Amino acid sequence: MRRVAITGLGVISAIGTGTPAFFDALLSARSGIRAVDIPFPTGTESVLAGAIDFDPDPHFPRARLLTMDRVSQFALVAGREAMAQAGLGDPASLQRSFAADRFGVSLGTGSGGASSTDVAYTALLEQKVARLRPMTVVLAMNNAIAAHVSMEFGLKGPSSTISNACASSAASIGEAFRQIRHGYADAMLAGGSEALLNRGTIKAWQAMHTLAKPHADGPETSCRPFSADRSGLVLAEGAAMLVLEDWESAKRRGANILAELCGYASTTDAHHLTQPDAQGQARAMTLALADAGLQASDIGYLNAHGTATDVGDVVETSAIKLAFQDLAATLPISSSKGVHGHAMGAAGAMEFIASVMALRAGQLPPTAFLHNPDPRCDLDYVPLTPRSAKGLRAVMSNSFAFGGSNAVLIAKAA
Amino acid sequence: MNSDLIKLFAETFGISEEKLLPDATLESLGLDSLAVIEFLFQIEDQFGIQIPDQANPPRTLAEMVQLIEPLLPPGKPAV
Repeated sequence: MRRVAITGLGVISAIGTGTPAFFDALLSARSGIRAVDIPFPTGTESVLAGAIDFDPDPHFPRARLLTMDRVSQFALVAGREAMAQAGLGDPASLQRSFAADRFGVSLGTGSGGASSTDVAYTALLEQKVARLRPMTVVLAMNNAIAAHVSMEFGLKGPSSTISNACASSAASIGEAFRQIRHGYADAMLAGGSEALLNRGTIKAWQAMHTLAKPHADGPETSCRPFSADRSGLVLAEGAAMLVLEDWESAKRRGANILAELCGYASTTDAHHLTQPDAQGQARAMTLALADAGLQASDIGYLNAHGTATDVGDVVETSAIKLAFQDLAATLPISSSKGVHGHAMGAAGAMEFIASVMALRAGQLPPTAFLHNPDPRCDLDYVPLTPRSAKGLRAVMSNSFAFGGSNAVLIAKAA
Repeated sequence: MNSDLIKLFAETFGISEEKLLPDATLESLGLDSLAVIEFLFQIEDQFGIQIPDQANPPRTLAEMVQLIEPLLPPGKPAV
């Protein structure tokens, strides 16, 4: 089996565009969550969100924007950064390094072009138009992100779009890893994108009763993973992308190898639509370790799923104890969702990038706003301030989804 | 060419009017077939007209204007 190198990273998020800005905000626990006014038909409501101030005009010609939902725009912004970092940003470098049909795309999204769907339903039901825009289908379809990314770079290898809710992009990275490992592709652009801050999607999430309430310390502090006063998750948008490639070809072309993607596992709880299951989550962590050929003691940092829901954080704590046994008590763990919110289909990729950057920097991003830990979440959740962790060998990133889909990724130092 | 249509075209696609020469191909202006369909759809909605399906879709700006202009309601400014 071939080894897989990570050679490019790209992020657009509520805490910054570009991986340096993203990681800097993570380390300083600088929140990008805010209260956004959303004009619902019943009146304007203030909604907590990890929203991005994004002007697409400098990034794309207007003609192209007619065919791109916001979710595809985010995917391309993050994809361009990742490809540039890998030294593949211009067509000549790309063609010199890889055959087009050996470079694939594996992306994840929960809601795809949900904004375009919302616009279409608004036109149909509220404005009572007789017909919809011709591009409605291709704006909204979930694999539009893969289509736009592949066209941008001319990538003609394997293509897939995974929609496993909050585990979508962790699974898409894992499946891309397998494509290279088993020889179906030499390189993959993998990650996820989400742009769900539209009226219909927000109302649907409000009805789930899992969203955070505004905290007295300010709206930006409202997502509090593992804290006794946590009240739920905060919806967020963004995209995160990685360039993955065959280790030997990365070496041959002199690429800067950022880390090795060495382990992935996917499990299903088959238990409940929304209630997480510690056994299923623990099994994913254990299988990912076996896949990587590592021991639990090799993992020096775990980026938790940590959504800040009451049940989710407690069950994940139990799952980590099951998977890591006695080592769980001393394993540094944090959730970065307190600052960037829950980017759903992009969350797994965003947080795997956070893990890879922690591995490289020897700096662990803290869990923000964790002044008062929940006694039921009694692990080392690296509260409030970053921690130095020199000599990190390997890091793990957890992603667990509604529907019982679990995905765990492991990277080790190059 | 119909200046109102050119102005609308320029605004929709963010292209300066000086670049919109009659012989310019839509492709050279960065418009693929889907973007052209979107524009024709917008025109139909804006003017309440129906542009018949084309066996050979317009290739240049002049061809597009020739297709639309005769269908526009008389005396009504385009923008």
